[in-house]
Amino acid sequence: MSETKIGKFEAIALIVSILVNHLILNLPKGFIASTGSASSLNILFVTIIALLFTLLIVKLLHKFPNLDILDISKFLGGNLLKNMIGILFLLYFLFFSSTFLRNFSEDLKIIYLQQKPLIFILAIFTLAIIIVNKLGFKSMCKSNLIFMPLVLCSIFIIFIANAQNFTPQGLLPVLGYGIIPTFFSGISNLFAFSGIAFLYFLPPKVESKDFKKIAIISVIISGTFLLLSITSLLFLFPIIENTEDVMSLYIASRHISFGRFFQRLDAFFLLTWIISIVSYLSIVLSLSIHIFKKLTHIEHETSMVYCFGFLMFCISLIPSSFAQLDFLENTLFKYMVLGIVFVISFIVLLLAYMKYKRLHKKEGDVLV
Amino acid sequence: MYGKDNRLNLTLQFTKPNSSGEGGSSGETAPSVIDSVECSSIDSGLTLLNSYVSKEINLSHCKVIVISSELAARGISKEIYSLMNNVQVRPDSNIIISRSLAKDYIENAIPSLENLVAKFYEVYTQASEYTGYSVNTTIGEFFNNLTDSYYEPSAILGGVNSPSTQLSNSSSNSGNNDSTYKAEDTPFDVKNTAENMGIAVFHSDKLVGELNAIDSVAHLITTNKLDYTTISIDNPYKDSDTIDLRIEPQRKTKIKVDLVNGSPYITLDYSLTAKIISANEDFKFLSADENTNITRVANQYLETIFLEYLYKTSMELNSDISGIGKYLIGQYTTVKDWTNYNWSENFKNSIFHVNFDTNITSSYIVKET
Repeated sequence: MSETKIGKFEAIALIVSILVNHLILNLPKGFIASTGSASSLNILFVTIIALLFTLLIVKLLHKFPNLDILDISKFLGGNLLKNMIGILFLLYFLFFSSTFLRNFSEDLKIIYLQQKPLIFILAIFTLAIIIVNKLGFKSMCKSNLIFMPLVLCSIFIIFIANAQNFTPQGLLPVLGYGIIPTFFSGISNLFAFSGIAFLYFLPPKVESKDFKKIAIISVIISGTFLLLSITSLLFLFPIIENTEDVMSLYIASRHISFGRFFQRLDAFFLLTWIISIVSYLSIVLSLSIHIFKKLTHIEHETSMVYCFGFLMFCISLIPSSFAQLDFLENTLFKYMVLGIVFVISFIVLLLAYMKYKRLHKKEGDVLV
Repeated sequence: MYGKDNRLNLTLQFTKPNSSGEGGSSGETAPSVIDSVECSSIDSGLTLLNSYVSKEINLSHCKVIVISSELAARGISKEIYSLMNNVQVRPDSNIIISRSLAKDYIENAIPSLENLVAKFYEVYTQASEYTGYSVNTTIGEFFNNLTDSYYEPSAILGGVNSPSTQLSNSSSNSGNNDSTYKAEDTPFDVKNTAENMGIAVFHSDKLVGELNAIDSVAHLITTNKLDYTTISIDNPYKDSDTIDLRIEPQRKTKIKVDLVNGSPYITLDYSLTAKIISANEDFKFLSADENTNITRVANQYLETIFLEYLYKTSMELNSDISGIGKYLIGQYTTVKDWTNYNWSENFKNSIFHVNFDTNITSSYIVKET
C-alpha cells in the first residue's frame, strides 16, 4: 500500500465496500434471523450507535493526523502494543476475507458453476486478487469507486423492481422477537459496520480536513443500504424463513421481471457483484500487506502479494462445510469484529488520546 | 405429477428441439415431446429421465408445474421445497392443481393460438388478469404463502374438460350463470382439452377445497389482483334476463380486522367501477333512477357472492388465501404474541361485513335506444 493520498469519494467507497459486499452475501439474513420483523428498527438503532461511535473516533483521531492505529498503538504502548494490535488486525482481515471468499465461491458454485471444483473457483478469484494488487492501492481504490455505485444501484434496483410484490406487513409485529433481541442483544448487529475498521487506517491516506466528512457519509450510506436491502427482504419473504444458504439478495433478484421481455436479470446482478467482490478482497489483501509491512519493516511489498494471496487461498480451504462457515461468519467473526473494531481499538485510541492530552496540555497541539 | 402408492408419476413436456425454427407455415404448432417416469421423488425422476433422453434436462425454462389434486390432497410441501431448492427452477413458474391426472392435463394442453408450448403456458395462465376466473399463482408465491403465518397457499385449478366431465359436474353449476364453473365443468364444444378455471385452496400444504370462477373473481378483487372482468346480474326490469357488467376495481380494497371476544370481525370495503355491456332495443339504463336501481342490484349480487366466498374460505375451508391476517398482525407487538393467537386456526371463527361502492359510469358505444 503506497503512501499516496486517495480522494474523498474513493475513501467513502472503500469504507462502504465492506458493508455492501457483506450485504450481497448473507448479512441481511443474519439480521432477520436475530431480530425478525423488527430488523428495520434494529438497523435504525445500530446505525445511530455506529454514527455516534464514528463521531467519537473522528474526535479522538483528530489529535493524530497522518497516523493510523498502529502508529497510535506505538505511541501508547511502544512496539509491543503496536505488534499486538497489528497481529490482531492482520488475523482479522485475513480470516474474515478468506471465509468471505470461500462463502461467495460456494454460493457461486451452487448457482452457476455446479460442475466446477471449488478449488478452481477459489484459485480464479485469488489470481484476480493478486493481479489487481500488483496494480497498486490507488488503482484499486479508483476501480472500487467505479464498481461501488454499480453495486449500490443493483441493491436499489432490487428494492424498486420488487416493489410490486411487497407486503408492507413484513415489518410487523413491530418489535419482532421482543425488546431484548431488538435493542439489547441486537446491539451485536453493530458488526455490520465493520467498515469502521478501515477508518483506523485511513488518516495517513486522506486529507485530514476531509476525514470527518468521509467517516460520517460512509456510515450513513452503509446504514441506508442496509435498511433498503433488509426492508426489501422483509417485504418479500416471510420472516419465519426457509433455510436457503444462497445469498438472500440474489434470491430477491430472482423475483424481478419487467413484463415478459426482461426476465432473469439476476445474472447481470451477479456479474456486478463478482467484480465488486474481487475489488473488495483486493483492498483487504492490500491492507493486510500494509500491516505486515509496518510490523516487519519489509521494504518491498510486491513479492508479499503472492504470499498473502496464497495464504488467503489456503485459509479459504479450511472450513469443511457450510455449517462451519456459518459458525465462523455469524458467531466467531461477529464477536471478533465487535471485540477488535469496537472495543480494543477504541480503548487503545481513547488511552492514546488521554496520554496525548497529558503530554500536550497546550490546546491545538498535534502529534505528527 | 401424480401420486400412486406413494410414488410419483413425473411427466415432462418439451418443445421438440429445433422444431420452432424449422420451415413450415407460421400457424403450425411446434411439436412437443412428452416423457413420463414413475419415481420416488422429483429429482430421482429427473435423473431417471436423464438416463433416457439424449440431452440433460434443465428446468431453467420450466414454465408451469402441474400437480394432480389427488397428490395435492396428501400434502405437497416436500415437492414444493425440493423445487424451490432447485436453482434452475424460477420462482415465476406457475403452479396448477389438476383435477385430472397431471399427465392427462399436459397431454391435452393443446396450444390453439400459439406455436410454442412454452409460450402457450406463459400466456394461458395470465388470462386471469382479464377474466378473473382463475389466479396466476407462481411457485415462489405459493412457497411464500406456505411458510407465512398470515397466508395460506392457493393455486390455479386446472383439469381436462370433456363431455363426460361436463355431465358429471353439471349438478354443481347453479342456473345458467356462466361464472359458476370450475375447471372441467365449462360447456366447451370440444372432445378433450385442458382448461384452467377456479382456485385450488390449501391449508398448509394440503389441498382442502376448490373455488369456482366467480369465487375467483371475489378473491382477485379482495387481493387487488384483478384488472377487469365481466359479471352478469339480474335485470331489474325484465324477469329471467341478465345484464352484463364489465367491472374493474376503482381503488384498493380496504380491510379492517377487529377482535370481538377473540373472534375476528372483518370489514371489507370494495370500490368498483362498472360499465354496462348489455344492450337491447329498449336500452335506457343510464337515467338516474335506472342507474340507481341497477347499482342496487349489482351491490346486492356482489355482496352475496363475496360473502359466499369469504365464508367458504373461512368456515368451510379454514384457509386464509386472501391474507386477511396481515391486517390483524399490526395489533400484536411481538412474533410470540402473534404466534400464540394462532391465526390459521382462528380464521374459521371470522365474521365478515362487506360494503360495496359500485359506480356504474357508462355503457360503451350505444348509450340509449
